[in-house]
Amino acid sequence: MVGLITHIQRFSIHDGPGIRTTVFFKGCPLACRWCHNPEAVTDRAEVLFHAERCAGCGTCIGVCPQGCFTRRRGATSFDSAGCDFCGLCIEHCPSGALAWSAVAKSAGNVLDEVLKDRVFYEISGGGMTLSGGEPLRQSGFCRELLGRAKRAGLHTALDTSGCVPFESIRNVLARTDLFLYDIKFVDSGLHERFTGSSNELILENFRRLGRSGKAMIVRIPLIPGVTDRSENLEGIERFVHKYAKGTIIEKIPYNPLMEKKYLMLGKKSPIGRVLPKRLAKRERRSESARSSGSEVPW
Amino acid sequence: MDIPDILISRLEEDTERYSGWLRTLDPAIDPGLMLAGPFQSPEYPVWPRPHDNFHFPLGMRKLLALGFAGIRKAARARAALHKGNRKAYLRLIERVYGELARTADRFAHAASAAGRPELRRLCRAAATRPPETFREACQLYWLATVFRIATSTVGRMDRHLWPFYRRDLKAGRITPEEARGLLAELLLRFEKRGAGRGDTLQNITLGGRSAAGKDETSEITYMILELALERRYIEPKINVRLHGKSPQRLLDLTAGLQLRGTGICTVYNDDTIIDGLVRYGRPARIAADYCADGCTEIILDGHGETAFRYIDCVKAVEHTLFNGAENVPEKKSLPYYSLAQEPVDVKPPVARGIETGDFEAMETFEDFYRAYLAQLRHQVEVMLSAPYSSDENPLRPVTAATMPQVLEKAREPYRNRACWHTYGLFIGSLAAAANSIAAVRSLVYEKKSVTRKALLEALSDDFEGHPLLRQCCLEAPKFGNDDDAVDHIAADIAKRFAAWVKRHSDRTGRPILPGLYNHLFHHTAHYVGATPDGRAFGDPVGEHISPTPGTTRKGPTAIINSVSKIRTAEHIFGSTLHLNIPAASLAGAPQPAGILKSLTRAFCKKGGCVLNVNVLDTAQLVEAQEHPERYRDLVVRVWGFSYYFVGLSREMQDHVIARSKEPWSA
Repeated sequence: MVGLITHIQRFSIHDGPGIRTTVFFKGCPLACRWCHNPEAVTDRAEVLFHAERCAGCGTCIGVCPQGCFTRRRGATSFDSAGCDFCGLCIEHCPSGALAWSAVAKSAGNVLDEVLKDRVFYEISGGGMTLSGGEPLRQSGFCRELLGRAKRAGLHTALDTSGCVPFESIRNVLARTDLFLYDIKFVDSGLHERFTGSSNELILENFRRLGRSGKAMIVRIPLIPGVTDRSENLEGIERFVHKYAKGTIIEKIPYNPLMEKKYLMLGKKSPIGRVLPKRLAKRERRSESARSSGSEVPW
Repeated sequence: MDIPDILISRLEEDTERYSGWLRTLDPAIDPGLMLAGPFQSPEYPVWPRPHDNFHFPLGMRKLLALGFAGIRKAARARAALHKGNRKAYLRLIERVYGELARTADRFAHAASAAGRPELRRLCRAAATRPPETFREACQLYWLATVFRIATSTVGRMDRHLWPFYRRDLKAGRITPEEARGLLAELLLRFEKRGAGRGDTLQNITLGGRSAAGKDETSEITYMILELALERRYIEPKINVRLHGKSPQRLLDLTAGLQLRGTGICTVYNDDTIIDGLVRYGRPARIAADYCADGCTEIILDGHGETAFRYIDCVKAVEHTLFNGAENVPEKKSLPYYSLAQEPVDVKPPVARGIETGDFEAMETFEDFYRAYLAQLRHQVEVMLSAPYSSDENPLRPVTAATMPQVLEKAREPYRNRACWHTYGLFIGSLAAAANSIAAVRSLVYEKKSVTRKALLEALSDDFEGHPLLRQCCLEAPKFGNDDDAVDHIAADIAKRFAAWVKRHSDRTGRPILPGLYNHLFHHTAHYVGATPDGRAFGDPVGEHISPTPGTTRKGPTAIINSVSKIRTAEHIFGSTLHLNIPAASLAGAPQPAGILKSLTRAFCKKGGCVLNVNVLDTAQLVEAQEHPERYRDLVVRVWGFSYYFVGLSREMQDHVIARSKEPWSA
C-alpha cells in the first residue's frame, strides 16, 4: 500500500511532545479559507513552483501544453488554472524549481526516513506525528504506518480534523498514542461558512473519542477576527471539557507564511477573502517583518 | 638532554623585560572589591617572544599547590643539583617567581595603606606561601591571571577551586554565599578584563568526569553557571564538559545558557573526547583533564602548551580544477573580525597547489578525486614541514614552571615528555569542499548535465552569465542534510586527512593532532573563487565542521546526523559544530530549553565532540546591521568566542546573517 505524502518534516517541535518527525498527508475534507497547508488540500499531486530556485531559463514555457507559464518582468510566473497535471514541466525543469506537491510512498519508505532521527525521539520523548491535509482520508495507510512505527517502538501522534467517518478513527485507535484534534468552531453555521462543511461529524467523533479515553490535545487555529473571538474559544473549551475532561487545549497562532505557498501552487492568496482588509494588511506587513508574534527566547 | 644556549639567552632577555613590566603594575586597591589586582594589565613592550600565545592555561593546580614563593623555592633547591644550562634555566624560573612574589607583596602593602588588613593578609599569603583557604586561592588566581600579561584561557576553573571550597566548608570557614560572592567577583573581573574585546581567549571549562567515569561536577560548577546565567556577561566564555552520567542540574543550566542564543556556552562530549585522546597516546588520567583552549579546541589543562596551523580543503578543490592555480577574481583586504581592526590582505595558507593535470582531461570521478586528494596532501605536507616549537622562541619561565616535571627534572617543556603539548593541524571548509566534490560527481560525472569545460568557464566567470548552471550547482547534494551522497565524501576527506597528519610528530615524538576547524572562514570566502557547490566568490564558507551557511533544508537533527558520520574522535584537536537554530523555529515550542537539551544529549550520544548552539533571528540581525545603535548588546558567536554583532566587520556580520537563514526555518 502507498500513501500520498506532501512532505516529511524533521525537527518538528510543535506537533506533540519532544522532537518529532511529522508526515504530511495529501488531501483534506475541509476547505478552510485560511488554510496554511494549501499544498495538502486536494487529493492529487499538483505542480509546485519554487521561484527562488528558478534560473529563468524558460524551458517550462516551451514545454507546457496548457500555457501555465509566462514570463513577467524577466521572471517566470506560474498560474495553475489550466494545469492538466501532465508533469512535462517538472520532467524538463533543469534547475529543480518545479516539483510535485506530493509523492506516493510506501509505509516502509516513510518509516525509514522517520527512523533516521530515532535517537532524538528517545532522548526528547518525541516520535512520529501524522498530519496533513487529513491523514485519515488515507486511513488504511495510516494504520499500516502507525503499526510499523509502534513495532519499532516509537511514540505516535495523529493530527486530525475529525471530519472523517468514525470507522477511520477506530481503524488507527490502538496504534495512536496521542490524538491532536483540531476544532475550529462550535457553531455549525460559522464552521460551514469558513470551512465548507458543517461540524456535526467532527463534534460527534470528538465525543466518541473522548469516551474511548485516548490521550488528546485539542488544537484551535487562532484566525484573527474569525476563530479567535472569545465566545468561540469559550464555547470550544466548554464543549471539550464536557466530553473529555482535563484535555489540554492548544491555541495555534495564525501562520502568515501561507501566502507564499499559494504562489508556489500558482494560485491567488485567499488572505483578502478570509480576513477583514485592515487585518489582512497587517498580516502582510508582519509577514515581511517575520518577527511579529514570535517570542524571541532571549 | 641539555638545554641549548640560544634558549637560555632568549629567556634571559625575556626575564629582564618581564620583570621590568611587572614593576609597572599599579597596585591600586579598589574599595568596592574583595580581592586585589587590576582588571587590565599594562601593555607589554614587545609582542611576546619568547613564546606565549595565551591559548593554553597556566598549570593552575601546581601554582595553587606551591604558590609563587613555593615555585621559587623549588627552583632554587633543584638548581643546586644541576650544572650548566639546566641550572641556568632553573635560576631564571627562580628569578621570575621571586619577582612575582615581590609584586604580590606590593599589593599587600597597598592594601595595608588603604586600611584593608584582611586584603593585606590575602596578598601577603599570595606572596609568601601556598593558599590555604578558598579566599586565598581566589586572590592568587586573579594575581596569576593578571601577571600573565594578556588575556588567556583559564582551564578547569571549578576543579582548580573546588578543593579549597570543600575544605573551608568542612572547617566552617566559609558559607556558600561568601564563596558565591568571591566567584561573582572573579567573573566580573574576567568580564572587565575582556572589556568586550572579542577574541580574548578567556575560556573557562566546567564539569566533566574522571578517567574512571566519576562525575566531577561540584557546587563550584553550579555557582559559576548560575552566576553566568544571572549576570549576562560575555566574558569569560563558558565551556561545559558533559558525559553520559552528567547530572540533570548541569544539563539544565547548560540549556539555559544555550537558549540565550549568544553562543557563549560550548559543550564538550567527554565520552568521545577522552577516548579519542587516549587513542592518540594520552594516558587516561591526563586525557580526562582536558579543557578548552583559547577557542574551542581541545588541550590538556596545565599539562602543556599548544600551537596550531591550518589549511583549507576547499582551496584544494580550486587547485584541482585549475591544475594547481588559483581562480580568484580579485585580491581582498578584510579586518580580522571586528570593525575596529585595520584590514589585512587575505591570503590562503597555501596559495598554490601542485600540477595534477587538466580537469578537462579527467575522464572519471575517480581521476578527479585522486587529483583532489593529492592537492590536499600537498597542503598538509607543506604545513607540517617545519617543527611547531622552536628554541629561538621558547616557552616563558612563568608558564613553563607550572608544567609537569619542569622543576623536578630541570627539563624545559619542549623536550619534556612529562608535558603533554597539543600541536595540531586544522582543515577548515570541509562542508564547502565536500559539497563541491559532490556537485562535480553528480553534475559532471553522473548526470553528465554539465560539461567539464562549461563548469570551468562558469567558475572562471564567477557564475556571471551562468544562472542556470549555478542553480544546478546549488541543487546538488549539500552537507548537513543527512544525505550520504555528500556526507560520505566529507567523512572520507576527514579520515584521510587524519591519517596523513598522524604520521607527523612533534619534538616529544608524539603525533600532531588533526582537527576540523577554521577561524578565518570569512577570509576563506574571499580567497577562494567560485566553487562547484554554487558558491560565488565572497559567499560564505562554513566554519569548523558546520554546514555551509544557508544550505541545510532539514533542520538540526539532520545536521547532527551528517556530522556524526564523520569520526570526530579522530579529529581530537577540535571539531566544533556551530548549530544555528532560528529563533522563529523555537517560538511557541512548549519547552525550548528542553529541546536544546535533547539536541545536545543526542549530539553527544551520536559521538559528537564539541557543540555550540546559537539561536539567531534573521530579521533582528538585519535590523541590527541597519540600526546598530539599537542593538549594542546583541551578542553572537564568531568562532571560538562570542562578540557584539554590531562590532563585527561587515563581512563577518553577513556571515552570521547567512547562518541564520537556513531554509528549513521558513
